[in-house]
Amino acid sequence: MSVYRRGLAFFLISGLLGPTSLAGQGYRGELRIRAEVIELAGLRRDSLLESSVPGDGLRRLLADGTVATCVPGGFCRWYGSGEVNTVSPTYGDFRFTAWPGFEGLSVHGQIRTRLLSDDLWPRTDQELDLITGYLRYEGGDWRASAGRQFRTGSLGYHNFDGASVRWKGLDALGLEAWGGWSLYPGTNAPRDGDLLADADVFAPEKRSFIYGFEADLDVRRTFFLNGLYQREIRTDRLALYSERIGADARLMLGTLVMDGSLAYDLVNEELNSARLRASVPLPTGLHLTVEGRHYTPFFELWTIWGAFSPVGYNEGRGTLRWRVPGTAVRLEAGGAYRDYEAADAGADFVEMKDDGWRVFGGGQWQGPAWFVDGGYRAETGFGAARYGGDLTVGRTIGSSARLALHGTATETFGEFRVGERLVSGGGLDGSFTVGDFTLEGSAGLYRITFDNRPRNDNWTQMRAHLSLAYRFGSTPTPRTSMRGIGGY
Amino acid sequence: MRPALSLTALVLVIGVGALLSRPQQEAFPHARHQGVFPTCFGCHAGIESGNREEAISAQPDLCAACHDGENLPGVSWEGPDEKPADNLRAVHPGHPDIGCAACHQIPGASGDMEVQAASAESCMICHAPGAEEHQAAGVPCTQCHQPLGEVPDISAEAIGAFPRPGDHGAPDFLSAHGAAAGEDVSRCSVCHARESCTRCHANAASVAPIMALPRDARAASLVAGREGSWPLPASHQSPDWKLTHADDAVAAPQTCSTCHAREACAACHLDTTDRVAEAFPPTARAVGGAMPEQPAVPGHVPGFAVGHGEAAVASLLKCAACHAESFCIDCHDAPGRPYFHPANFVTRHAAEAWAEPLECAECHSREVFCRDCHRAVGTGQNGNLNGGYHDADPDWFLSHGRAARQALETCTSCHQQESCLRCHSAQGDFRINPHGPDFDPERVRDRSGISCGRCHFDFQLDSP
Repeated sequence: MSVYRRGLAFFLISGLLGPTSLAGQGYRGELRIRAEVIELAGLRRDSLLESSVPGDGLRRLLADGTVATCVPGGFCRWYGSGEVNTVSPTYGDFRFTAWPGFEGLSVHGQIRTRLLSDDLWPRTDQELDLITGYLRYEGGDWRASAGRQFRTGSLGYHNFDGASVRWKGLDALGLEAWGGWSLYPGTNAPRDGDLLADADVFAPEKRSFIYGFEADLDVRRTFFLNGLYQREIRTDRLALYSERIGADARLMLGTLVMDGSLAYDLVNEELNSARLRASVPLPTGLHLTVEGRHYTPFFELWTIWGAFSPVGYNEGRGTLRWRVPGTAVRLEAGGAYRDYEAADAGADFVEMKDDGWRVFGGGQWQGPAWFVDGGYRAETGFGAARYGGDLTVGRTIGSSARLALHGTATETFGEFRVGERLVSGGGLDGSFTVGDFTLEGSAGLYRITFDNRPRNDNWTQMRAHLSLAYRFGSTPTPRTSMRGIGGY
Repeated sequence: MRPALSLTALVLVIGVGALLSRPQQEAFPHARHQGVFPTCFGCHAGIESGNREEAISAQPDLCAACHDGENLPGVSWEGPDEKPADNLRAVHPGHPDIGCAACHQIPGASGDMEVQAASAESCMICHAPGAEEHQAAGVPCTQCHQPLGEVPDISAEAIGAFPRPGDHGAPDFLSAHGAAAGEDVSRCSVCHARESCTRCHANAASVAPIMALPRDARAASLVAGREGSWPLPASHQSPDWKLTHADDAVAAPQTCSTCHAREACAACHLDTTDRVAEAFPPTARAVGGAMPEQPAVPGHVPGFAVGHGEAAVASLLKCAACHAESFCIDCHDAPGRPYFHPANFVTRHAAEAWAEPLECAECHSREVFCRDCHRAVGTGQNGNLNGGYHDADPDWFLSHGRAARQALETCTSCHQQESCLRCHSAQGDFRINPHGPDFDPERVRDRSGISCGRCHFDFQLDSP
């Protein structure tokens, strides 16, 4: 908690340093309260003495057909349905940007609280989260930030407590350097805190420094390139947590747009990810995107996982999108194939997939008020498979309200686990805006049924949420329609 | 009370009916009086004085001088109906020598009393010779008509009903009218006031011809609530206009500000405090002149919502021109806005987790997020290998190494490091080497010897 207290103190003091009135230049922000109710079914491990289970070998069948894994002279174990628990995570988010009256100076902050914490839902034991809280000064060719801030890029999302300075003295070139105490990605907490300690016996016992620099290049608004170097090291300097470089690029030649990125682990000399994507419009409203990608997972050096020599896969992907001329219909179809690198592990006689594929298709229709959005996705390969689709039908009511009905049916398989599961159901969701207030809510029921897993009980899951947001401030922010973004 | 109310209502109905049924006064029958009057000025006395009130018509008592009921039958003519206010100038004093017939005689007629009200065409014979129509360009309106500000009696409705000059319908009128107004804004002033221009011109305050027009409440009422009309210039139709318009905005912001106010910049650009935006006038209205359409941004190709990461980083400053951080957080911040994944994604995320089209770890911590939940539902437990979960393969212990190499991230979403070290540690039960063929222990040792020490207890640390 000391880190939170320091961060909050810095944040609050920063605010007090400014003029007492925020009316000097302005402010804007959002306060959002979100409450969810979700039913989750757990798994319960059960066992019998190996001697009491008929048959022999490591894999045996119980009387009802349940597969048990047996250890000679020990126990036969299996998993069945546990109890259904209802969790109700509730979040409070407050974020704002203010211009306190000094030219070029702004204050940014986002604080999250997790109320009514419930240990069954991830992260809910972290009751207070200072996600960002920093001062920023922009003047001339310089931009400087100090406080808890974040960076995004080919190396992922990183936030840290420190400072960054950007120089944009040339139209075509920008330089930035940053440094401070890093936080563990995705947690807003230091590595030596309780969060990681609870998650892993070998969690780091020291915080870490982060520093790095980057350069970005803009060549005649046609070619954009960003390259960066970033290093994280224990505060006692006994070991690195990571040392990586990354790059992102975009090339726009007429209607052809090409995007690329890469992330490289300097310690393990491993290319973690590389992606090249080309997108070009075709006649009659068609648009083609093709992509090649390599991915090898990255693990920080405080873990042993990198020493286990994980391998990656290469994937090719193509998507064809069609905006049907003269209509409000958009269609898309595509597919991808991936192939894993040689693992050089395990027994040769054991068969295991080393490739996978996915196909997907869908469409949208947007009328003056009504809209339909649907898609199907089939994905199979190493580890798990999934086949299913979603359909949403809804309408907007004026510019302030939206109501939609959605349904889904998805069948999932686990390659290393007997049985399959079908999730089907649907629900209602909607939003309503009055002035600066937006109320959103959803409720749904999902039937979950199992095949070939007699100890798993079919059940019906209920989940719902309600959120109320209040946006305030003097400068409007461009909004986006959220529907349909990132569905797959 | 009821009889009184009924009577009142009856009186009102009769009164209103009587008013409505009053016959409209006929025009004076000039032709029937051919040869009676030696001069027009006997009845239209105000013509010489320039007093329009007197000039309109004779008074009824003049009729009685002849129509006395004895020599001639009496008449009930009461004079002309009150003429609605107009914006015509008092032109008679300026035309003392041309005679009444020049403007008022019915074309083709010969009698002095075969007259009519002067038409615009009769004025145009001298004032706009060759002009094809009354409202054509080049016709000097103000020679016959007064500017709007000088005719306060004309109602807003009457102004709104003014005929529209033919040249105002030309395809290029909106883009070309500025030059004409600059040459002679008085022509505009006959129908328009300043409010007519400020409806569209964001920079009206700095345009001299516009400021030369007086304000007028009637004109303001006519444009109140009406959107402006902004023609799309040819330059704006270029495919890369949204990307390149900054150059023009920097070079000549006054040109842009003809249509665009600072608020129009703010529709896309967050930072409207820079020197370019400051050259644009702010408006007090809800919209700031011509407002751009947002979706057609160059490079925002179909599917950009999902595949924008590289572009966002490579041209981060360009994103920041239009989007605040909150815009990103709206999608990426799952607890606040769970729209990134499809509905109830938690029940079907396994396939994506095994082979991520987008890296889960960019948002979610495997140890804290994934493992926390998996442990809660019973699939992940501290230090336990959980025999029985991977029950599809009787030889799982023989095959799990390959599975782990291919998808180690998925393993770590349930298993702690301790799970593996039971067998794979140099100090463990089986001392099974987990390192792959390309593993370089020297490289790792130099940079993070502590992780080596997890298994190799005799390891000596050096700072990286």
